[in-house]
Amino acid sequence: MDIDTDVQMEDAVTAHDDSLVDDDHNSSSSESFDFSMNQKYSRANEAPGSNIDTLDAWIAQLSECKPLSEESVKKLCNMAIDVLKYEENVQPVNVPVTICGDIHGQFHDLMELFKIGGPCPDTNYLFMGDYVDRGYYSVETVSYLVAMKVRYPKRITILRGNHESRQITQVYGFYDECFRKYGSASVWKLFTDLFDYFPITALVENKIFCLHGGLSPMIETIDQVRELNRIQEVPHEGPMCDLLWSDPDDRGGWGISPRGAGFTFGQDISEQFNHTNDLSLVARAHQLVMEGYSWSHQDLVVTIFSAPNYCYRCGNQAAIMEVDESHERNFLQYDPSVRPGEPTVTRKTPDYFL
Amino acid sequence: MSEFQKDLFLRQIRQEEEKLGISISGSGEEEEGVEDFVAPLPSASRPETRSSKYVSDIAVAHWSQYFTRDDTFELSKTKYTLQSYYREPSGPSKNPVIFVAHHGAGSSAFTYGPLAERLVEKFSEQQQNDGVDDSEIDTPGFFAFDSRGHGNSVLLNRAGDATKDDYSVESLSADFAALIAQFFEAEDFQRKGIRPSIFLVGHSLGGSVLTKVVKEELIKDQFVRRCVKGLIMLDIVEEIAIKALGSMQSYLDNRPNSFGSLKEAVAWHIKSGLIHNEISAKVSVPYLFEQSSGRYSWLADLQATKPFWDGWFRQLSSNFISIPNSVAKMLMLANHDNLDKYLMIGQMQGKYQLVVFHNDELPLSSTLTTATTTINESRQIGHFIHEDIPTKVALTLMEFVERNDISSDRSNGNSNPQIDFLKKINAKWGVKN
Repeated sequence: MDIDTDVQMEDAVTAHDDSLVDDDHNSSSSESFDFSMNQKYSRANEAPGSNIDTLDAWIAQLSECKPLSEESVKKLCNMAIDVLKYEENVQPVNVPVTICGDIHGQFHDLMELFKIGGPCPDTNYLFMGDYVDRGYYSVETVSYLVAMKVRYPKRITILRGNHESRQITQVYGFYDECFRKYGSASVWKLFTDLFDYFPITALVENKIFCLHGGLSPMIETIDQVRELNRIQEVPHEGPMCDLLWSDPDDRGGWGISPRGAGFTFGQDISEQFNHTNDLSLVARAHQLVMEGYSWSHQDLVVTIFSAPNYCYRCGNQAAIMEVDESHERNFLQYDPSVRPGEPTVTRKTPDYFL
Repeated sequence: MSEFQKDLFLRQIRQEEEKLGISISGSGEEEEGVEDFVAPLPSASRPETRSSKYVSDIAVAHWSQYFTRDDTFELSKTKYTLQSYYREPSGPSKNPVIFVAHHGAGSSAFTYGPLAERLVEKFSEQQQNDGVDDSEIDTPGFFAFDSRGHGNSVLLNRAGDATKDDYSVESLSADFAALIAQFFEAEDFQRKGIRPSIFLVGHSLGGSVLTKVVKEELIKDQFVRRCVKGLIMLDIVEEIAIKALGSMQSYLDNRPNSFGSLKEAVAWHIKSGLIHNEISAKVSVPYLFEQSSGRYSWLADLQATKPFWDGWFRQLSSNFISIPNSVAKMLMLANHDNLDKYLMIGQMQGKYQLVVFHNDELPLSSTLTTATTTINESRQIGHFIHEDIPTKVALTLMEFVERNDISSDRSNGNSNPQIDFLKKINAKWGVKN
């Protein structure tokens, strides 16, 4: 097992202790949890009463950046599958809503986001993927967002990003973090199995098309997204891969993406897609932008990135986009949250450079 | 037994064998017959005593096992002579793919021996699977050389004392730019109507040199420059490399000055964790040494490079990400996505392809960004990633070439499927060219 040396081991030990404490603390509510409830409330606006207490307890614990026990994660993921499997490939969303980009395990910055954008469920949120990897608190971040989703299914929408994948998370940290905090890969398995159910796009009032990456040459109409079978690992190529990987580009037409997956698409493509589908805007995340948001293609496409000082070293601002009842857009920018006890960035230095 | 247990078991047997100086288990997962192969070393001033000395030592792989030509180039400006090894491309294509590689500090052209071999294998297999007739199969070329102060180039310049002990990245880059131009001239590509697609591969310091060559457009000949389609850096990140320089002196102080046999030298490279694949180490390590008074001592004088360490990696990351997309870029790392600020921003803006190979016990032992393959090679991966897992690196390079070599028609007049696809989708969307 390859340990991610990005994080000091003290952090890992502390985190693990917390999860042990959680076991004791929650044992009574865990036992009383009725599994058969799962099948019944899937289309409800809110989780049924007996689950609400459990969920609220989990959310309270997670909001202190303390991971849930493995047993609780298992229950949470089962509850979440029962919510997410009924969502659509193009999940309809109403205004007002606040649209957010990549988070990448920067839990404290996510808390800052909710301070700046307003607490959920009072404010509706739409997250466009990439909750895990690179940051130190992917477990807490994704647990929190999934718990919020189950608790307030109509108030928060969580889309899938290219990092919500088995393959990518093995390389960029989430796998290692799960292993470190739980002593096995089982929590990683639970979450990556859950990721298959995340919707891949959302449509705000039929006008703003939201997704993680960008357009696909195989997708001319939004109806074609509805026809995809999304309940699977993110494929290596094809329309579902493109929607999670593509980037807008200054060059016109479709181009090869330097990333090695997806495509680049020019303004001509965005014009055509927005016109065909009667859209005012494509909102997407996926690319770091120094101001937190960035317009391209003459305001047909906006990039939103919500992880400030990405990976504790990039020096970028973060942003979220509010869309109000009259479809007015407003960007809120923010800097990294300042907090004591942040693990210092200690990175492995090899003992040779040959 | 699981694969892992089996590996462990075999490894233990081999360790025991090594102690006893015998071999019953064979040399590893991939039999190459290195053990049985005894042949003279390349031309020039290489001491000829070697082959006869190896009775109780390991066999040195003859250069012709990995390359088809060993040429020397006297650089017209500096009069410095560089030893090169070239595996010529084969097949009918007028646009052959040629990898042109630069090794890192302290290494030699033979660090790329196994990779060159594997590339040819994988490109052939791929075309066979696609139903290409055997006579029509194109295999890529691979050009590698011993940079100044390294490998056989040390011996070639010793008599004339042409070594100026200038190991600055500027001089190394100038050497490379001159060498590739002279290589093109010697091959006479342009007159023959051949327009190769050049993919530059640089390991460690070599990655820094090649980035400088591309970024600063040091290749003056337009034909040559336009043939460069891709740049691949193997395990090099500016910030990490600069940090590692701090412990470089103690590394040099603590390594043995010489070895009693090449077998010892190979064992030391494995034991110290520099190279994890014994088969590759047996290919590359012998070329790092010269024999004198019965001992094997390092050809490259790394201590002499010290005054230049400071500049070797400066601005590497920002230069790399600012190279325009007309040259496709890839960074391949071992174990960690330990990116510095500029590489992280560049990666998160989609400016290059990042591939991280991992040591771990999962079946998904490598991630080719999105595609995954499982190949049993060395389970340990380190800085010499192309020696540790040459097959995986070859497959990754092949995928990268297929994706990014949109220069021209591929083999035997068939058009490039990648270009066809782009043309088709752009036509479908009514994009005007």
